[in-house]
Amino acid sequence: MSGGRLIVALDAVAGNRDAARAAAALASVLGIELAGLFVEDVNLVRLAGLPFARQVPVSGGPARPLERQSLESQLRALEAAARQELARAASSVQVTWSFQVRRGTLPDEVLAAPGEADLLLLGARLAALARAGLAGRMVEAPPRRPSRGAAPRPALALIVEPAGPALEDAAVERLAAEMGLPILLVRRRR
Amino acid sequence: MAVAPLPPEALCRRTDPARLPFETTAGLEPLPGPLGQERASEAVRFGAAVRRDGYHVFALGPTGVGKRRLVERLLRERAAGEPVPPDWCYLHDFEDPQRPRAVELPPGTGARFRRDMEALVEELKAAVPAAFESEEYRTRLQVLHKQLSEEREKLMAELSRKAEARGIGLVRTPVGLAVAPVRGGEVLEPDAFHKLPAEDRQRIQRDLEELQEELARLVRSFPEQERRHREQVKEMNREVALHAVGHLLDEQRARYAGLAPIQAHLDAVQKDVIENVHEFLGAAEGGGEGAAAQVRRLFTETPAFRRYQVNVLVDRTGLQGAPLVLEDLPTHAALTGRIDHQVHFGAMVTDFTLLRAGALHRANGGYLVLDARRLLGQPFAWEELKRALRSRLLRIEGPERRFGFGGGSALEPCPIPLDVKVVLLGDRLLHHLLSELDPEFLSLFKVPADFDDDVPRDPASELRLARVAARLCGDEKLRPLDRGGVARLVEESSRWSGDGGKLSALEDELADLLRECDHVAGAAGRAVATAADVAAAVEARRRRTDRVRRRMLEAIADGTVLIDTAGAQVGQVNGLSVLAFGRDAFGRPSRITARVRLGRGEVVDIEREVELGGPIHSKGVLILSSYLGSTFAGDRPFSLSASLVFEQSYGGVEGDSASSAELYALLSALAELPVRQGLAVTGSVNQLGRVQAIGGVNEKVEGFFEVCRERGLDGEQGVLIPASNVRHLALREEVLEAARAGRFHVWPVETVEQGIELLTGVPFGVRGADGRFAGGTVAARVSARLEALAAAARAFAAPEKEEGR
Repeated sequence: MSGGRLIVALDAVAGNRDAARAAAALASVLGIELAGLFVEDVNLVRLAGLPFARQVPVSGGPARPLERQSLESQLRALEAAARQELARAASSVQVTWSFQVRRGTLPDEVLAAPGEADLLLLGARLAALARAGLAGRMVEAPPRRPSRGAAPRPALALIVEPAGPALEDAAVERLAAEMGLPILLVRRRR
Repeated sequence: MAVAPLPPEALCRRTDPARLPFETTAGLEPLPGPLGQERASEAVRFGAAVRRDGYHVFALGPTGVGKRRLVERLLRERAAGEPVPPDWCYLHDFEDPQRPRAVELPPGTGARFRRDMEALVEELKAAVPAAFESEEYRTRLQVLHKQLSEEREKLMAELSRKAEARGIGLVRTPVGLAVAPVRGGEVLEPDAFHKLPAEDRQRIQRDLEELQEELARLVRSFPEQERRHREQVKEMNREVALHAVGHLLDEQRARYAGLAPIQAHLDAVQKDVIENVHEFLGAAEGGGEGAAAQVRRLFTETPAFRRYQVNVLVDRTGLQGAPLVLEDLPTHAALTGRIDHQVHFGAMVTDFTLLRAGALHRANGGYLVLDARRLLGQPFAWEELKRALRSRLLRIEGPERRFGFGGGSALEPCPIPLDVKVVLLGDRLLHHLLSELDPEFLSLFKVPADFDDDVPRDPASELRLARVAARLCGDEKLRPLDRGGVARLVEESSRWSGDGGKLSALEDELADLLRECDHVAGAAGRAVATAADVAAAVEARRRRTDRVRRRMLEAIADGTVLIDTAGAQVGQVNGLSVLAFGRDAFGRPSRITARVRLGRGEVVDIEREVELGGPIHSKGVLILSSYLGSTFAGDRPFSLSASLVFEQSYGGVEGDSASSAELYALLSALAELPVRQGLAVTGSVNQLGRVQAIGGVNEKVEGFFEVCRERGLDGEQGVLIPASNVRHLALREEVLEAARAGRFHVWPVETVEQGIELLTGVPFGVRGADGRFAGGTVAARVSARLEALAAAARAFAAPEKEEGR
């Protein structure tokens, strides 16, 4: 696969470092550009505008108010961190990288992304959304030895097939085996 | 009547080679043991046999007598028939890692168990990861993970449904979850919310609060869910681990059935493996952990693979009989073991695998032989040995515990029961000092094995000496000796013992002479050493250490040191002394002079006055003074002042072997009778005028002989020796030759009276019925002189009385 871009979806939740590293490594192997896509969930922003908005921390503790200003600060901080992770990962394997921020709803922004790239890596949460929301064919990766202490990996690779004949299954299976990820193949949206 | 000189055959007890029942020592059966030493042998056997506290052995005797050889031979003979003691191992104690457990195993089992455990660990390294990488395990783990996530998702889904029913949705935030009013799947814009009727807004707010509370309760339940999940995973891991390792350990259990310590250890290992499978999985990963984890592991407990090792402290594989250990460097650690350390990142770390055995461990169940002087020279070694023998326990301790300073391992291995027989080798002085100064010594070393310096000389012992020579020659591949050589050897051995009726038991000295004989015979191209070779070796050795003796003879010959060997002098006698340098000694004459004058009855020992005379010498002078006084002035005051001195002697004088010579000088001075200077005198005297035995008689006679020979023997020269020393004579052939030719003589003297007659040619005299000595005798002349001195004293005192003073 030459030319093209690999987009890694980074969100404001968790796991960005591992996703960035995995994506950078794959981009380096494939010889393509790496692009980070940071999605700011618009629903979260709306919630923060409501007067009674509160969030319950999953790490424990009482519910806290969710204020717009503090949310914006958190999002900026998370975005900067995600950008930094991507830059670090890309420079470690010397791939060209770019970073963009979009505000919208998560499924929409993620699902729109394949129109601009050939390969999209998704963490578990976004992978679930993609499988639910996209039509395509799945190629599962062969079972991999669970390694204790190793970094978490992306849960899904989403490949946008170019116009023309579909990619051969054997080639896609080999790629899935190399990446160790299941691959969802979708056609580019018109 | 004057004493007759000794016949030449009395000057050295010869061994007739023809009497010896062999041609050469090569034809003799070597004597495996030493010459004699029956007492010591019996003591060693007794000490080795008595298995009671405190019956350790101290073999005492001079260096070179063969203590070590005899002790080793006797103990080896005994040990060969005794059972092999057990192996001792140290194992990790999983309950108390600071106290490694000592385990006793049948001989040879320790090494086998160690190998088996090493193999087991290798198998575990493969089996445990394989079990956790299997499809079945991953499936089961995924099932558990799924159960957790499904449970959570179910609860979240329930909450979502409830919320949806009220137009509320769940939203992920950067740190958690929130509930929000939704329209068409999107969160309500704030503006849109504010445009709602108040009632709707209130309702929404109430619903949100209620659902938020429920959400908070839900989130609070997550930790408990995770905890249950972890327990389930842990339990599953235990099952998987047990399945993986159980059969491997069962194999080992079957192999070591009947050995309770090993069974208990294998149970503990199984439990530990199951509880710590992550260490096996981590190792299988090839160390995907960071430096922090490595450092943590380093400074905390012993890694798994080391915990399961077996430290075989004492391995009896291949040993036959009880052990016999000879420790040449008995340091404290060499005796009682030590705890080694390794350096890891600059820190000193240790564990049970670094415990090392000492000599006491190796000898446990058997025998340990130590050199006492070397032992005492090592700091703390003697105290630790006593401690171990008293307590019958072997403890391996770090220096901080032994010596009381901080730092170190804090490892406290369990002690091992000690059952050992210790034999110390030392000289008599050391044994005496320990007996006097160490209150514990005699209670621990109750058995002295006292080695003789010599054995009685008779045909049987002469033959045994030949057999000892045969052994020594055989051991070192030296040329054998013929009968003449052995006879000469016997005579030399007698000389070493200082007694013609004894043979020296110092085997080292004998071995040295045999080596030197071998060298001489070899240089002469002979295959068998002869008497001439022995004599040549002896003479060569004498020449090698001859420098001081030659200088002494030169000094006498050129008149620097004044010694007369002819003529006669009043108040002057040739005394004799021995100078010793290392193993060699030689005799030398000294001029002893006496002067008398009027005085108050004191005999002044000039040597004592200037503190050059030792106490025994002073005692000798006091004794002769007492003889003089009681013989000649028993009923009247002693009005003389006499002085005695060793002329030209500037070093210390000790011993009383010259007291008879001093007495003769005094008698000569009193009687004004000259003493023959061609004679020399040795012998101590008692208060009754009896001449007593002295030491070094051979060296003394030969010393004077050499001086006379240098000047030319005139046939009148010789030495007066105590009659009780005749049996000690073992003079050199050159002296015997001179005696046979009548050119030098040795007189045995029993009394002062005999001696003074020989020296002056005048009989001593006998006291008559009137209490007076016969005229012209030595005693008469002495008495007359004393009376004259007494009269003079009275004359000096009389004018004072007349003047009323």
